[in-house]
Amino acid sequence: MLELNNLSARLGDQDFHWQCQLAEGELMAVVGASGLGKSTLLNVLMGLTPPTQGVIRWQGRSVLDLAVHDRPFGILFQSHNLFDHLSLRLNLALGLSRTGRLNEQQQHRLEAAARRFELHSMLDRTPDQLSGGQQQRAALARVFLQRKSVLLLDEPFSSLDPALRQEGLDWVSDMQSELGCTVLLVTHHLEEMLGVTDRILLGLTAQQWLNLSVPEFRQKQAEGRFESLLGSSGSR
Amino acid sequence: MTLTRTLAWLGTGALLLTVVLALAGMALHPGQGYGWASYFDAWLWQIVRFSVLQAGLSAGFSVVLALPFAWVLSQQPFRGQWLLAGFLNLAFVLPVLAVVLGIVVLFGRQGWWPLAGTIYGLPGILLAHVALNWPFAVRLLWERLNQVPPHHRRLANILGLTAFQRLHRIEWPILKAAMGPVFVLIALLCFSSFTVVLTLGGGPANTNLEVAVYQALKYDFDSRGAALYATLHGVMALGLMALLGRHRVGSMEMVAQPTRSVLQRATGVQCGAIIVLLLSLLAPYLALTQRALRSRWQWPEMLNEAVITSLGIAGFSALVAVLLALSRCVSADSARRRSVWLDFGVLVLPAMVLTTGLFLLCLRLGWARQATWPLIIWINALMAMPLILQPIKARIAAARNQYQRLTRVLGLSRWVALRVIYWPVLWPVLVWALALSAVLSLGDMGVAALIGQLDFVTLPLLIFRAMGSYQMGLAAQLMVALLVVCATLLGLAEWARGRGHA
Amino acid sequence: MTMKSILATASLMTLSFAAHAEPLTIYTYESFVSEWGPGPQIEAGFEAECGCEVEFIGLEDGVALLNRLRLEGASSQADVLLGIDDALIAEASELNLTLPHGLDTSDLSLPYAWQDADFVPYDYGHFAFVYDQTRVDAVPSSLQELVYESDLSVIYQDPRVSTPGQGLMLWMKSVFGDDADQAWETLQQRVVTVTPGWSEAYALFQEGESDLVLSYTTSPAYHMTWEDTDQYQAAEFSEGHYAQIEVAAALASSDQPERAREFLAYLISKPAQDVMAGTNWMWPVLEGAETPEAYDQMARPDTLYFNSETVAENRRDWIREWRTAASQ
Repeated sequence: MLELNNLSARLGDQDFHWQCQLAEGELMAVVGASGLGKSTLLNVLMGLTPPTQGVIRWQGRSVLDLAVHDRPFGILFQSHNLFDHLSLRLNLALGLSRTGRLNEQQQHRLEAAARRFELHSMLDRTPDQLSGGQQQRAALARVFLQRKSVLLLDEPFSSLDPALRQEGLDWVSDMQSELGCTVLLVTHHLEEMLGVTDRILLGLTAQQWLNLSVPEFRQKQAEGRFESLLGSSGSR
Repeated sequence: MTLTRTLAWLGTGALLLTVVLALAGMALHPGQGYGWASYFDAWLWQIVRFSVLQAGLSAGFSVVLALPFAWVLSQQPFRGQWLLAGFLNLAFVLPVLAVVLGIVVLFGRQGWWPLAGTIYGLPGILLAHVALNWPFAVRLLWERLNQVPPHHRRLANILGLTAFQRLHRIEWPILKAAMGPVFVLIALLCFSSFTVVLTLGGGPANTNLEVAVYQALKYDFDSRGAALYATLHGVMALGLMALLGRHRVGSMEMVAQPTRSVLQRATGVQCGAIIVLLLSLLAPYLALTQRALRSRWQWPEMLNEAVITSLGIAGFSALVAVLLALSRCVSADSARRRSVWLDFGVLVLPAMVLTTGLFLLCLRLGWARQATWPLIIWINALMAMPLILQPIKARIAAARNQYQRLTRVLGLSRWVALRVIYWPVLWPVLVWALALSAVLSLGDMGVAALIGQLDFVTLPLLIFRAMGSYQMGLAAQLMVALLVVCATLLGLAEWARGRGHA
Repeated sequence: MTMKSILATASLMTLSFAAHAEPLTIYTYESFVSEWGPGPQIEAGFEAECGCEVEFIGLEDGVALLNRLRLEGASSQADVLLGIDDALIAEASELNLTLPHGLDTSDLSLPYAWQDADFVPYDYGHFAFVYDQTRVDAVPSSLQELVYESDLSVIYQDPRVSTPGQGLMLWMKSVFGDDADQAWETLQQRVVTVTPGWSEAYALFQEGESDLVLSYTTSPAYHMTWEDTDQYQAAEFSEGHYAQIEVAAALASSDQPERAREFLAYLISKPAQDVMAGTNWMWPVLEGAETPEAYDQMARPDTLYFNSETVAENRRDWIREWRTAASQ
């Protein structure tokens, strides 16, 4: 269980507040208008932005005093997920070893992951020789190698076209089912998510978030409760 | 964290210590000076007036001459424009003495186009300053014009604006805004000019404050006078810098490369402009080479030693300059913002004063002989540092912005981050900075001339002495040798930057 | 750390340069030690006599020499100072850096009666404007005429660094007195350039940049001797010519003062004096010393001079006067 208890953060003069729970192995879509703090939430979870108060618990234990890389979380940003000047192989290797140097067993794991994500033929290229979709897939492969229990995805596919976006989602749900990991996914394309997501964290304001199941969401949507909130972005 | 912070403090500390020690050294100067009132005479007024006049005229001519060329070059991106930009930089970086010598060979009594009057005095100074700064002005204005958004140009095409209308509506406002800062920057550089004014001044009438500092120390043995001229220089230079404000026009970084696909063959007018530019840029060097070839090749006894000394000094001071620059940008702390003025230290506090102060201190301590090398290396590093700082800072900031998050997420240690992230991103710019500082130190004459101990001889000093005894042929030959070394180093720098882009 | 070790390496390198033996170090002006100057012969002669090593160090020009000594004070590496002139002696004495020479200089032939306990005169000359008689015919016959009536262009040396330049300043002062500033202003209109040293000025003149150059009455002897031409002549001025006596002294900072004194004695002995006229192109101070044949044709003009206390007292004011007037 991932618990966010009375969690607050402050960015500039904007205050954010979250309160929610997510069962292990579930996928939660984080939606809401821009500026409500969707990305900030992931950064706070990750430890990149310090919270002003509150607790984050994973499996009953607080993660707040863990260093960024020791937290059970792996994250994908919208961009800059790879080191542009390093080969794909080294980029992936950094997910396995903090020095980038691998032993034989780790080598095998890297090769296997590369095959799994269909990147095997590109291992010696640098990111700028890959397409946008391939780059994000490679970043996903690295998170896969990190073996983290919780995936934090900050619109990693939003700059891709719908078909590639769908493909990206498929990779994510494959990975989720294989590793049984828990996923928080920030998105502007909720409609595309409704088939795969278990929960929806819907921001009404920066301090007020609703934690809904898909049926609950559909029902409220049918009542026309979110037209003003999701408006264009929700159905785009 | 501690490592970078230590490095940053070391850098700041070294710079501060330099200033303090130099001032202490000046205070220990055995020259007793004279009553303050005696300094404020007609001559002081004359040198202040001349400092401002020559700087203003030099900058004015440079900018006005640069306008049409920058405009023509910016009309359309063309193939090989990086090469031209590189050439424009070259003139700014190469030894000042080369341009001075080139000007003498071109316009002197026995030159290609002898000047009606004498080359010594204002005409010579202006010619040399324009030759040095005009290409620089062209590059800055050209770069500025390249910032016209492409869709503005497209729109202008669709609307069928003539070149003149486009100039009037789109480009002139940009040029007008850019002209001021470029003028002030060049005026600042000419205001602080030393080698040109010293070698081509030709008498007490044509002295600027920087040369007056040198003369007060070296000729009049008068530290108080030197302090007065240095203070005046500092105050006026600071004033000019304040005028410059936040405009960041002084970067030595190359014009951003437009994507390959838009590059076309240069138009006829552009070709004309390029040819005129290249010819006038290269003329002094061509004249030098021709003069060098005309005389029998000589191999002065001191040459080997001078070359070794020069290369040694250039190598060490380049290394120190880069380390110093790194120490000025490794830490993103706000603590170092308070010491940001140190980044420009040598532009405000004349190098002459720093050098003399430190040298005097060493004399007092009896280290004069041993201190020659370290002193020259350190001061040359200080002079090169402001010019290489910005590009290094920019690369580090960019790498930090792009990768800091990722580094933390992956939990890379400082050492690994340095090895796999910062080093690959930085080494091209570091090689470039090393080569550039080495070239700058190679061309230095002022520092070596001021403290040059006894049998100490560098290549520029040897050239200066040859010029001093009017052995123009020998001077030209030595200069050509120096230029070849500089060109090789700059070629290396460009190659490194090329690797950086790939 | 790295930087420190670099600096340490660099200073070690300089140390190792400095490490060899302990020669007699002599500070002098650059043209004295040039290939054609008296330096090489005097060095060889004295080295043979004393069985020691002599190191000449050439520093720009006379005034710079004095400044260098002031700067280094008692910590100077030099044993002997050679090449300042009579005008600067009072200033140099004030520094208390020299040793008495203990030589008898009363028999030396000098342009005016002069003796000093510390400084040994080794040659002398009279300043003069040199011209090329194939190019110039209206040669002025007085300084007055040169300044106010002539239209010939002039190159001279900076009085702040160069002893000839200072000589011209004193010459102007002794001829024009309080009106010297006006004379400078008038002359300045025909000045091509003011050079830091004698050799620059003379070379420029020979390249044809000016009609007249400030030099010495004996300069034409050089061209007669080596180039076999009387093309170059020194203009004789009716007011008289300002004289310069060049001197040397042993320095108190020396760790071999006896050897320094021996050198001074050698400097006014016949072997060294025979060299002076033909290399330094100044008159030797020793009666009967050899001079090139051409010296017989050289003029022996009337002498103008200030005693060196007067110069010491007024030098800065006169320099300021020149500086201001020459900048108009």
